[in-house]
Amino acid sequence: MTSNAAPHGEERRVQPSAAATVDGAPIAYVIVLAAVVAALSFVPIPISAVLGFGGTFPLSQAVYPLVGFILGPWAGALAAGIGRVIGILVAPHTASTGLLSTVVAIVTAWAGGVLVQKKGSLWVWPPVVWALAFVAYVGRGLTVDVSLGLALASTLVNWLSILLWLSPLRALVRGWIADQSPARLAIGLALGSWIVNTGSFLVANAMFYNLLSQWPAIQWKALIGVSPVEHVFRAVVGTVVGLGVILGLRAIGLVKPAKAGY
Amino acid sequence: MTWRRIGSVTDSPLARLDFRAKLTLLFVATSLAFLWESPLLTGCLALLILILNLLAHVRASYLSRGLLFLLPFFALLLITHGFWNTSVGHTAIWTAPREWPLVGGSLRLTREGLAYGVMVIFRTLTLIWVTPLTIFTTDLNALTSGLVQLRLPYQIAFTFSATLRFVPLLFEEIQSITQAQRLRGLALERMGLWQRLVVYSRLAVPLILGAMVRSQQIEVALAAKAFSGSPERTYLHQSRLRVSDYVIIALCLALLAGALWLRVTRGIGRFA
Amino acid sequence: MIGPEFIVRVEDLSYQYPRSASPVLRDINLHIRKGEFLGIVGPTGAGKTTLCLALNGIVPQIHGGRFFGRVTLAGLDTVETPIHRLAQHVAMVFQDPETQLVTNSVEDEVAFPLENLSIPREEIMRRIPWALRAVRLDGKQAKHPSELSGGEKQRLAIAAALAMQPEVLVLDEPTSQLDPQGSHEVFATVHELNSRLGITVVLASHASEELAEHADRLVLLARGELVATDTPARLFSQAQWMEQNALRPPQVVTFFQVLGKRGVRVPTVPVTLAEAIHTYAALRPAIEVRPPLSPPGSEKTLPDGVGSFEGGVSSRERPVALSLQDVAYAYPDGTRALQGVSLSVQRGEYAIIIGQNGAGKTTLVKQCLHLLEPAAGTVMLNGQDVCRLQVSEIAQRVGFVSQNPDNQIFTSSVEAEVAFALRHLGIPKGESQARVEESLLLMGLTLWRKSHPLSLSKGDRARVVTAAVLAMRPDILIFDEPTTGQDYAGARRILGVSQALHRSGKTVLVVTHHLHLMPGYAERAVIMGKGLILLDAPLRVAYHADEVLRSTHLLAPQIIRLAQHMQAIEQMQLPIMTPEELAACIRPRPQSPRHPPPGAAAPPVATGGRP
Repeated sequence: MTSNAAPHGEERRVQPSAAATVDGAPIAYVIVLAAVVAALSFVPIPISAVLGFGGTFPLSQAVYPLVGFILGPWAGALAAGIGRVIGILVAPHTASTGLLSTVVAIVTAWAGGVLVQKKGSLWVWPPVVWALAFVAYVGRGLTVDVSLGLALASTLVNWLSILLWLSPLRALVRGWIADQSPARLAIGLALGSWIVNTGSFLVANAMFYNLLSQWPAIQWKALIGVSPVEHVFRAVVGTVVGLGVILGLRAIGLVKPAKAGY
Repeated sequence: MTWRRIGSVTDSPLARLDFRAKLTLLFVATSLAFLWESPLLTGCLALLILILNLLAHVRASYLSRGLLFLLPFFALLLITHGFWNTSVGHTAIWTAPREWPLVGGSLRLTREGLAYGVMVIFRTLTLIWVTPLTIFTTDLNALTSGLVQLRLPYQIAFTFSATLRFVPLLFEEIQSITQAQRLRGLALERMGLWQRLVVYSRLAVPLILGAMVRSQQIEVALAAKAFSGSPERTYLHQSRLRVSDYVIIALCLALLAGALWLRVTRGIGRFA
Repeated sequence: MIGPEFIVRVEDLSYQYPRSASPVLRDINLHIRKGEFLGIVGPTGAGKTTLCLALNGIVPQIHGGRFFGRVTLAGLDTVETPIHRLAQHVAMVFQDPETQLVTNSVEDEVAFPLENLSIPREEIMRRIPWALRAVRLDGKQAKHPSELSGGEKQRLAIAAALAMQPEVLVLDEPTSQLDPQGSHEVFATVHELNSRLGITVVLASHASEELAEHADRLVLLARGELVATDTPARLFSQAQWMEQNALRPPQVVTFFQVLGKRGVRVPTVPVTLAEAIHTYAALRPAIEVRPPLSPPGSEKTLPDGVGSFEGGVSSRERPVALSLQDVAYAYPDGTRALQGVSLSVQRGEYAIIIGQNGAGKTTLVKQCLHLLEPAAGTVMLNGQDVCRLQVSEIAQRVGFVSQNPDNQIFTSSVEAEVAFALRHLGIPKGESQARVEESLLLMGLTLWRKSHPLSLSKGDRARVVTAAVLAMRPDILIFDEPTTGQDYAGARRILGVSQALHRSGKTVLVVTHHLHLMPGYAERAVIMGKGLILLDAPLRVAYHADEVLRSTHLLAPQIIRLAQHMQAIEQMQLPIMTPEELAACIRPRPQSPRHPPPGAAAPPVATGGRP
């Protein structure tokens, strides 16, 4: 039998089974990425001199957007959420708001997944969530001891991301993440991670400020400088990791989840 | 590794409670921690949670490990609120001498500010310690079936338990990847910040890719085990609510309701 | 031959994966009888896994792609019947012990498929202890999978499959990641399930000796086609099929075939050790056995598969490359991994480190690399205390290729991967380029320099890592289980690389449990057990140290066990290591030119029993 001869058997109509999936992503993918998030919660990135949140941040934080880019909004949210919960279970001291800090992981990964969707109207919701968080944070701050000017300056990078999201940049970033050229992919990942991280951190701030500790105005001042630096680090790490991972996934030829953005 | 304690449980009255009762406890304790702003009340709450932990045989070394890590954070809290909290800080207990540059005369350590910082510390401790109280006293299967009985989709409950299964494997992978990096000449000690950042990030790439490759095998294995994600299945472990569970749930909710009422009507729990 | 006793019918099966250019299976026709033990053999890439997955519907239902022909299992069509319904009749055990265990305790793992199949609770509670007993894991219900050994993990997977009470049990290379003890446990378990419970077994494997012993019938797959199907006895003795497909027959087969070429023929070539012993007994009157002509350890070039030695005796003059003195180490949880180990490796040596899992082999290697520090004793590298050197410095002198290449790949092109270390070691660009070219050439990777390492096959990924390690120009190379999971051709390729490196003057250490592959490459064996070195001797001596090997749960290669049997009978020392060497000890007895009478001396050839 030569290798080019037609098969003897009759071709069958193959109906892919409804394998266990979460929003189009095979459940096994969700499981392993959740396990990755959990495991990476213990790898601290040694950035020193960061006020307010300790001297390091865990590698997992930089990876939430990527989880969303790979799995899509809901599967990504689930993976990041479960991963974060397990990370907290094993080391509760990494989360000062306890299990509630899972919310940020969920929102970040979810927003990342929404960012890379071409179709649908989900794109409306992340800025809505971020705006509500903004109001909760800044609004409360105004009642304590913060002036409007200070509040806006302190959250500049955060509310800027709402604007960036609503601008045509979002569509560009989505295109770049799906782009085959590594250079454009890198830019897309950097900007995408930046927007999604800075926006979702409003949720973290809102929760922390309203529930845990109304930090005084001086801390708002400090955040003007600190917050962008932290986010730059997160975006850089997210880009380095995302680039390596997405190029690798494409090379392996892994079956892409339905809502994947790469 | 601590993860192993998630699932294997030392017997205690708390361990015998149904997971749903413990979730109620978690919810109420968390709500109270946010509701109360007085250092006294939050302190009592934190102490209560600590005692419950010890009664449930949660290891003291585990509880104190958290403390050590958080000391810088706590110190920062005390300093920030002590010196700069202007909304509650009125009574100065120490003022920077006038001769000091910049801050002379204006930098004040206030009693209320310190008290506020202390309150936040107690809150944080409560939030942190309530987690092992609920999770470490619960058998993993009881946890999963408890989640399912709360109408959480089975897919989510399963993802949770399966993730727990694979996390230790990934910890080992991280070890072996870090070792492999060192064996390729990466000497982190001699690297600048930026380089270190990139190297640390590089760690995640083979970890994630390796995990994704494995996930394909897991998917096939799940299919071969007739897994479909559907909740239509037998549940070997079933948790049932007993009288003691209902009692605890009722007590907790009553406590929360009472605290709310007291706060609203008599202002008990306010900071001042 | 269609009849009700066929549990699986494969008719004109062809299959192509979705993103693949060509079919991975072509026109497979196969009928499997109820209660049969069918073995599937073939080189890597032949389609064994795909065929296994086609039996339970995963191909094509999970993967999609193009499917031709028909596969019927217990009367159900595998394309039209949902997988969970097929799962009531067929269960599968996979190659990787880790990824097929998805729960957090032994008990839950066995219960999991039953819960998915909606089997009533009481029934599940009845089946769990039964299944665990059948695989000898009872008493370990509460253990977490990570607390089990490799063999135990696979047995657990078998228990979970067994609990489903399938009519067919499919196992895809279940022992390729296991040590010899684990492998033996798995085969014994599966054999019992087949013989005692009558479960039909389909097992794909490279383990020729075990398959010869247990399988009723073998199917040879090559390049997606079913090349042959026959009893192990007939299939393994077909030398040209074996060779064409780069397969390794059981050592006794090779032995009798070489013997045949020397003029000593037998009516049927035995495929198992027991048969070989019988055949030999019948053959005795017609042959003469003499100890090997040349003393062991001397220069000898023998037919392919043996290679040549570099002479172990003169090694005393060579400088010491690596030495351990009374090294002791205990893990944080208290396990005493090394208990006073002393070892001295000279420059240019090729040694293997063997022993059961947990014997301390990997710990010993990590001590040499300064990944761990000894609690007592010293490790010296070229006369320097390893603890005073940075790991990155050591890496330039000792190259380590670990078992899983994927953990050692950090970049997105082969070229960048090979250059990776050089950048960090501060090697100037020009020299770095030169080294990269050299490494790529040495490992035959020049054509793939721009490819992403992960797009290559597993064997090629290991080559990429080796090239990357070689670029650092280490003098000593340590390979950790390089042949695990490889087919025979792949294993030979990798060992060929190690041989080339050895011949170029490098010191080579290989941690392995594939004893049968090492003669002709390694000169010395260090046998470890429970944190101690049990024996450190030339390969030939170590392979015949039966008691020592057994104490660390290792089995000497089949041919050596045959030689030892012959030694006892002939009352002479036969320190051979390969089938060819043993055959060289035998020649036809000059006084009896006749072949042994066919009827009187015919050994009972085990065909597996059932017709």
